[in-house]
Amino acid sequence: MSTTPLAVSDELLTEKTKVFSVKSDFAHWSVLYGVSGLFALICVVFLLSVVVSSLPAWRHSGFSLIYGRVWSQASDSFGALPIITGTLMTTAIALVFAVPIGIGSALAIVHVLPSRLRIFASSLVELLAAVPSVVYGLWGLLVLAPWFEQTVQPSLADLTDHHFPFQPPFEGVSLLLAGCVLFIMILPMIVALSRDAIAVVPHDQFEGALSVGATKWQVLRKVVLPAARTGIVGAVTLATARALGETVAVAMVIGLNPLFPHSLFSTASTLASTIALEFQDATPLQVAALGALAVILMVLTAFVNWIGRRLIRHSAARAHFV
Amino acid sequence: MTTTMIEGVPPDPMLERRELIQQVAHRTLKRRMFVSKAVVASLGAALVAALIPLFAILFSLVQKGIHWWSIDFFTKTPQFPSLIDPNAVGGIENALVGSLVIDGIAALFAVPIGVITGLFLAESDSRLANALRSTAEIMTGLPSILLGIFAYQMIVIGFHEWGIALPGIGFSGIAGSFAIGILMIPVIIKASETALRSVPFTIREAGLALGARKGVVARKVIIPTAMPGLITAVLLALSRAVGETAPILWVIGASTVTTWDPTHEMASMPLQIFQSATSPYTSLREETWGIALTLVVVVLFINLGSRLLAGWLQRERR
Amino acid sequence: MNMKRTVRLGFATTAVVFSAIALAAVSALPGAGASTKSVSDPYLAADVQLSTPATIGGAGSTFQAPLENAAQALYQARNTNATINGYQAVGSGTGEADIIKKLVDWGGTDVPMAQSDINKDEPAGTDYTTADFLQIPIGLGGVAIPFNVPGLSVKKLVLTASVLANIYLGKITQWNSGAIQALNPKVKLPKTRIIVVARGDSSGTTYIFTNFLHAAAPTVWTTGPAKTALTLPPDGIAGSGNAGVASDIENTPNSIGYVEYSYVLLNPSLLKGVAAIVNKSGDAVTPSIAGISLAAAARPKISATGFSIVFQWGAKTYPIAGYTWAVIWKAQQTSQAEGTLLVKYLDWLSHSGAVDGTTAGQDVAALQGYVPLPANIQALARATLLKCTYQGKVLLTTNGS
Repeated sequence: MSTTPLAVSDELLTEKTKVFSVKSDFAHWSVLYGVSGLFALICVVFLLSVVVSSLPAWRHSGFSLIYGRVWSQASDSFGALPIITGTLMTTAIALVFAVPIGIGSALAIVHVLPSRLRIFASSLVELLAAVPSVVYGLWGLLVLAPWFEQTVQPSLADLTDHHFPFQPPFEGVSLLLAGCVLFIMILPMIVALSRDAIAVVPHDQFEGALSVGATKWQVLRKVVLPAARTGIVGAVTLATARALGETVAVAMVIGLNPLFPHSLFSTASTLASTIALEFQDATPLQVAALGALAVILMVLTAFVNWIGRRLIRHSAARAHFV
Repeated sequence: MTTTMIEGVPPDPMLERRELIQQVAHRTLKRRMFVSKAVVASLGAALVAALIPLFAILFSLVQKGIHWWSIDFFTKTPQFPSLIDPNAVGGIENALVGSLVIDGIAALFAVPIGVITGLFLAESDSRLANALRSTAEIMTGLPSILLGIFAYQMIVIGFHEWGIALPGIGFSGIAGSFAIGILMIPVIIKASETALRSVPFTIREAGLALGARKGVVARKVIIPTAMPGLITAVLLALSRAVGETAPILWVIGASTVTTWDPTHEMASMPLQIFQSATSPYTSLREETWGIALTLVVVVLFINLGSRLLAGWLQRERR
Repeated sequence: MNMKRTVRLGFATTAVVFSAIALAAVSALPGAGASTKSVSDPYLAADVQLSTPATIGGAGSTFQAPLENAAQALYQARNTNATINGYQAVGSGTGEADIIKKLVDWGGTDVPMAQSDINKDEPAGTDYTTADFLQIPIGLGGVAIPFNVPGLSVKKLVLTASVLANIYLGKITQWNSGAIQALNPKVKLPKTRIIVVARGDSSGTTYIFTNFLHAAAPTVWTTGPAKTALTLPPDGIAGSGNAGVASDIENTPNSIGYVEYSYVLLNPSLLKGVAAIVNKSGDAVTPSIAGISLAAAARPKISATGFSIVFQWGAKTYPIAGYTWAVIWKAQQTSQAEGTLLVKYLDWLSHSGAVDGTTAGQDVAALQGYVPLPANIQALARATLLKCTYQGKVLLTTNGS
């Protein structure tokens, strides 16, 4: 066998015309399609199973599943409004803190830190993102909860003189604690992803704006943030979806009470944590109701994603005119 | 006004405007600088605030957990305290082995499916591929507890609907692997598609130009080139899978003995943390910090390792 | 000053309780002088000596979890070829569901399974009855009512069933309410809100508790006993399992809840406050081994349909006591080896004072804060186990046969 390039390519050329080779390309694509089809099948079966398993509950309770206020296995009535409220409130608390601090930290990493510290800080944040949620739950339960109950909750209650939204009793485990644990969990995600978006804003745009006399903050506000808007919105969307669906950490620190929370210090319940607590000993109707909770959760997540995409498209459209 | 007037030339309105801007800028400079400095300082404060929880958690983990680490801790199985020996606590060998087996089997079937589907998405742009990509996107954002329910209904109790009757295996490590594998697949798909797409088009063209079939090009050219990215993808998915608790909450049973057989009930590190955090036995509750520290170290190890490995492979390539 | 004295009192009480239990346990051990078994029990053997390896697993009631955990470790250490999977403490309701679905080999529950439970959990298309199952009593314990009121000068508060019922119904909301103060006239109660802790999962302990409330205060607690999660008053906490409730009470000031007695003993900080419940004879009794034994002795004839021993007559009887059971299939074990291991293990678990001086299940129970099963209940357990068959043949055989 000669080894000159021409000879090698000759072989390849002739190889291509063999019948065997046609089958091999077929083999390649059939493997690709087959495996992808398998993945698609798993996803379809999974999504179908969630929806189908919840049908008995929808038939039994109808839309009162969503606006009903009583969730009780004993009376076979399943109204998830307090649970949905708990989910939305914990996520809202988490976002209120995580979005400004997260985006601010990302800006700081890229534009405030000296370049030597930049990689170090980014790695630290990504390490934080890798910590499993059960560890956050453990720390929240054994370290944060006592601190909340002894220090934070009484101080906050003094602010509003023990009225809404900081009424006693101070139990540690509460809506507020769950929101804070969620905030700590989604913060690294927002920082890491926003940092990626902010870092790819072309440096010449940044420098150009500085050169006409704008201050750093003016440049960040008018040039960098708008340019990074897509990535930042994507980051916040992902973080929101994660906060909505977080199960274990929330279950450990929220008190798991499916009643309507009446203050930030109440014990409450979220969609995912209710499913986790009640699934194992649920009556068949309750299993369906929990499936309905799963469907509501998926719809919420899809809605958040949709809003994110709309925001991105909106900012991209505006960018056309810049 | 310091505009120099040239005779015979009408005044340039842009010049006036520029001078106006310069004047305003000069007047407001002090205020703008102050605002900017204040905001930049608060950005720095935000960063510090963002890092405080990290240090607090690591501090707690190390302070409360490191004294649990010992040879016994990693090689013995759990013991339960009694009134005569209220501080009896064994080790976590069963959880370590359980995690290893469950996540290992999960990776075994998740990696091929994930990488090959990623290759498919990187190679074709059809409507089917786009739909698949969106599906993978949706699946990565799903709460993992739903996968636990899926595994419970498919594997543990078996599927008994629509005329199909698949027997269940019962509580087992395999059910846990099923749930965690499905968790890993979309993550691997997304990351490996990115890695495969980032292979320069020229390399792919070169392979095709030499007359090689698409399959050969894929196997022998694209995948090896994208290998650092693929390895990173797999290891990152693995580091996430190791820490997941929700999918295996009710599907792996419980085991206080060390078993390598995935058809048996097993223990797992994150599940052990979840259960021991509210254990009735005080000594086991304290031991949870040791398990948590172990888990965090393993996850960080895989994470850092994947980055270092990818970097090393990248350098080797040159 | 007061705190230091309280702490010292706490240590002293803990030490006294522990040594009392230890003393009772040690005296219950064979060879320590009390009981002699000159005729060795032909069925009981510490070492099952299986010919093929077998694995069994159980799940269910957290009431019996400390007993199961300790007993299994001991049994497994002595048995070659036998593997007992870790007991999954998931609550009585889930335990029953698991055994009906054949996911485990025995289901632990504090309430023997009734036909309604079977109908609720059986897979679609099957039609099981209670005759398909055997229910074996394997433990005897009590439900303690610990509370966590900071600054309280006493370690026990007297409570009656009707006061407890009203607390759990949300009708009594403050610690210094008139009803509680009237029962404890010399105690200075704080004006803080009571935080009620209950089980959020399907629980046999809840059944025993509500059984007592309904038996002792039927006009206040009008619903019958049930395993389902109680509706909490506002700000109540739902704990998961006895362990969850115990840790919730420990971590939440001004809380009150119900847990199995051994959880209080295992968590000495819960001993800071345990309620003395007024029994049928009018005495306020704190949970104790003696009190629970008296409750069992007051009703010796127990069966799977008549099993309640709450609110019995007797001077020092503890009014919230109950048996805990293991439910197995009568004739559908997976294999000969597993069936043999199962019945031998449950037999060992429900008896005490085995042959050749080694300990059996109920001796371990004593070390975990349970009351060893009375002799007639041990006999009931054996009689029930002898009905378990595999392919027509009785599984529980005497040793050497």
